[in-house]
Amino acid sequence: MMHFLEQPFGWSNFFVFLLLGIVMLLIVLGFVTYAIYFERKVIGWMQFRIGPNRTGPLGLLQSVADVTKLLIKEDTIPRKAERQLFILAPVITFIPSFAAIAVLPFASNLFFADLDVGILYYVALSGISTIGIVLGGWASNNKYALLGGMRSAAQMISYEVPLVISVVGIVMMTGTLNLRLIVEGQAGGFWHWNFIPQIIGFVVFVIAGISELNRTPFDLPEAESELVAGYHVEYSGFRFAFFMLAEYVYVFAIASLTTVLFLGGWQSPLPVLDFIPGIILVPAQIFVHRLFLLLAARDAAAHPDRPAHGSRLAGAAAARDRQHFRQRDFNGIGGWGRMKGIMKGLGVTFKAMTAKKVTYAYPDVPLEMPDRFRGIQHFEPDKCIVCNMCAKICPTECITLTGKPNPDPEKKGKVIDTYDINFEICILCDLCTEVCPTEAIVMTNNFELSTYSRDELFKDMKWLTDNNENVRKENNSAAPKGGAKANA
Amino acid sequence: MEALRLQLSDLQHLIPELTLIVTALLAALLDLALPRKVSRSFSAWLTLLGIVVAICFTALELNPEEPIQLLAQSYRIDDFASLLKLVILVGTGLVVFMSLGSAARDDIHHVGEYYYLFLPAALGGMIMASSGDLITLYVGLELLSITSYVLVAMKKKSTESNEGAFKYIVLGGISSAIILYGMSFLYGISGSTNLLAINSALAGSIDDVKGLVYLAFFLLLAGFGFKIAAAPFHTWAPDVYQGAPTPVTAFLAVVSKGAGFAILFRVMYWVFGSLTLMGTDLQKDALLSLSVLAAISMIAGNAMALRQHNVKRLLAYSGIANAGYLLVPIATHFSLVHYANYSEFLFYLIAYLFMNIGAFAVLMIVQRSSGNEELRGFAGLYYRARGRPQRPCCSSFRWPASRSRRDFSESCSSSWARCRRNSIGSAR
Amino acid sequence: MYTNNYVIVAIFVGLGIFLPVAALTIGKWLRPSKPIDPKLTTYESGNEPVGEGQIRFNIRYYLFALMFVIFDVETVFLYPWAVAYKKLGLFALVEMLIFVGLLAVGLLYAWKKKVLQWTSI
Repeated sequence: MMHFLEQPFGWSNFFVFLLLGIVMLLIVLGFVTYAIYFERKVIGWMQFRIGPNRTGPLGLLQSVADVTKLLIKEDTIPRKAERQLFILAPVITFIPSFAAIAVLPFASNLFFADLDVGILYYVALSGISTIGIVLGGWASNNKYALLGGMRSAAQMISYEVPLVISVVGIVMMTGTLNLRLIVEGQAGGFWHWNFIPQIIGFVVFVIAGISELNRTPFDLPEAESELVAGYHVEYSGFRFAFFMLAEYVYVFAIASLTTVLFLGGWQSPLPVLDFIPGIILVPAQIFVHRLFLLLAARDAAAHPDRPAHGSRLAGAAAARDRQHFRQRDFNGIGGWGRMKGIMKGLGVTFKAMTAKKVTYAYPDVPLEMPDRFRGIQHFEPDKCIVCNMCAKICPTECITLTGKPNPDPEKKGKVIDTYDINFEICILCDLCTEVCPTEAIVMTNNFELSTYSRDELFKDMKWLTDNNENVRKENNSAAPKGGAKANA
Repeated sequence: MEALRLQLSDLQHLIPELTLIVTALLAALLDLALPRKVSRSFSAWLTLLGIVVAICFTALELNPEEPIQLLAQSYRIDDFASLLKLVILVGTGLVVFMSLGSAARDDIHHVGEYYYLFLPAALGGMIMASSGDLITLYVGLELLSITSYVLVAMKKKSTESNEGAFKYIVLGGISSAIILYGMSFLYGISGSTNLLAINSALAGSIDDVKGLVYLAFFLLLAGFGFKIAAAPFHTWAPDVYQGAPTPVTAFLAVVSKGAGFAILFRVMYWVFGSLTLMGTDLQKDALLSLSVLAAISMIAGNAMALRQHNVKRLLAYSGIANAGYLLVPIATHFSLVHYANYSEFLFYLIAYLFMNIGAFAVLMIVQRSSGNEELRGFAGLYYRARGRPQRPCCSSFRWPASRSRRDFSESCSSSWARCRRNSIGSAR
Repeated sequence: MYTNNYVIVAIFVGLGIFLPVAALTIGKWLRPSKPIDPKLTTYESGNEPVGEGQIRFNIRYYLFALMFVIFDVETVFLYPWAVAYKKLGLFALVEMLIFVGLLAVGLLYAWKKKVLQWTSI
């Protein structure tokens, strides 16, 4: 990359840069989709359920489906909203997030722009997104959007100052704002990495970063249950997607920045491991850091000692934790106790990844009902003696039947002619089965009755006869066991 | 790089400024630390102490062998600067002294801040007086302005005070922006912000960039004209003077105006009117504009003062007129023998200082006894307090050495008219 | 080399502009547009919207923004000093400490006057 940067500017250079930019855009977009998928999966595991698993193998295409849905949704701009600002706000939020990626180095020769003011550039751009958020809240002309926008902006600017100041120590140590040179200054082993001498800066940066990204426990701007979705309440379709896209691109950017500034960038942690190319180390670090951003914060929020703040999903995880741990006092409330709590929470999450899920994979796997389940009825016309008991006892009067005289002139009694059950009103109460002396009408373990029209819920005898799978073996009928005497 | 470094030995010349800073910090920290029940009058005495110490140190700086230039010639300590600093400090000290009793009565809640904010304001004025560089000038200007904005708004519950402060902030902000714009042109033409360097650059290349230089001059004139409340940039003065607490009005009328004149003098002489540009069209035009400004201020200020009922507004208009008088020394053509008019200007400024502060002090007393700020409060003073009416008349008689008798008699007649009207007792 | 860097930055900004424009244009071709009255009203959790949309909000947001501006400008002054820290001597450190100290007095003032407390006003 240095090679391209050092050549004089010309058309070939320009096209190379453009190509690299497009590749980075695609990588970032891919990262965003799979970041969302990953987050949903892991939150599911924390809550002892499977995350998305329907669309595509293992649910991998879930985000693609989401993006497509957002793209084809109708775009409503409220009549009272200020149109141009409304349209401009998500764009203003998104552009700086992508432009900030330009300055991050990923390997010793894999970076885009080698700006001598790298950190300052990043910090300046991340401040512009706050304008987009306030603008979104203001342009919506909606009280709640405005308040949500102001709250979000207040949170973001108040944590931006610690974020920016915590980096000054590294700049003093390295003597440059150039991110590539900062990484090169951390060569050696992990004991040269910047997080050791700048441990306070590291902690402050991480916490302020979590707040800048509006992640738990700072996710009040996104709190759906509290602020009616905050500043993006009036946004639908792809405009909303841009706000979310900007947030996830910032997740990527801050994770990368933390890696570059404090965790050695592409330098290997031990000198013996020098052979691992940086391009593998960096994503690994970004991944680890993202893991922290997404999960540890949520785990911290789900600690049993502290009630769930912000996210009600974290509360379900807290309940789950309580079930697993008898011992409430982990070496005290604060400090190591909390750390231990987080570790145990993470342990729960990872165990849940591989545990048997209690979630049903219906409808791919049929649901096994116990035998006593009262499902749809099954009718055997041969056994029916047209005693009308079922019709009389039905509490909703959903059974209508008619009999005809026995075609065989020898035998007495009637034979069933038509038998209808109106499943619009049948409550599957099992009384008709109990009362039938011949077990002509029995229940099955089927329960799927959805149709496209209400008329089709009026089932006739043929359908009831054909419904003969999963027939209940034990029917509480008055008939003696061992079969009834057919009376025809 | 080396020229820019502040050596420790330089600090001895900066002791007056440092005294003010240290006093202000001390007063601020004490004000924050002490519990609310403790009376804040210590802040006033601490402020006065700081000012007195600074006056002593400034007096020590007087009469140097040659002007001391610090920080790459951006900070000049010469006689002009030291004398102006003395004027500013004395003015501030008198204002603080004047407000010793009235702050609590005037329902100012933040008494501590009220007193110690005079210190950064005076400091701003001092920086302005000593500046040799556009940036230093601007920093001092902003320090003085912003502190003045807060001081004007000190009476938080009074709508007049809030309105005056609002107008002051908005108009002051605009004028600062205009000054900066003019400065940016000067920097663009000359490549430096140092006043002397700009002057030499202008002398060299004046014909190419004449339009820009004139533009810069007029922008700077407009901005500085606001600060000194010269007509036609005077519209903020009556409202702000009326709304502010009376000692703060005195401060604005004297110290703020004096500091504004300091920078006006520096910039006009060194950039536009100085030796290298002597005799050029630019210098002639600059001096002509200043004279026109002076004339308009005198006429407008005096004329509009006659219609006023509220004494503070009247004093504001009189201040506008005085700005006109003070502009005359700058605007006058000088010959090679009589190079600059510093001494005339300074003489009038000192007299103006005492006169104005005296007038405001009298106003405070009358205001307290009559309950309002109108002219009718002065009515019947001859009968109520014999010694009193002589003082305003005497102080207005101390308007010496005006360039033209016309001005002198005009001011005389206006003050006589006031006195006579008041002593007979107005029919209102 | 300098030009190249900023060309890349410009390309990234350009791509950042291009993506929303392209996505929203493609979306315009793909999405339906049936604006009816209830869809176009302001959302207020299902109720009829009352009052106007751009209401007055508490002044504490302005105070936070003001504090942010002050300390952000302080940080902007800290950065060049931090870059040149190793070359400057003790004197520069003392100067910067005085600068930060003066701003810290300002922060202390704001702290004592309860500006930093969210629920005080």
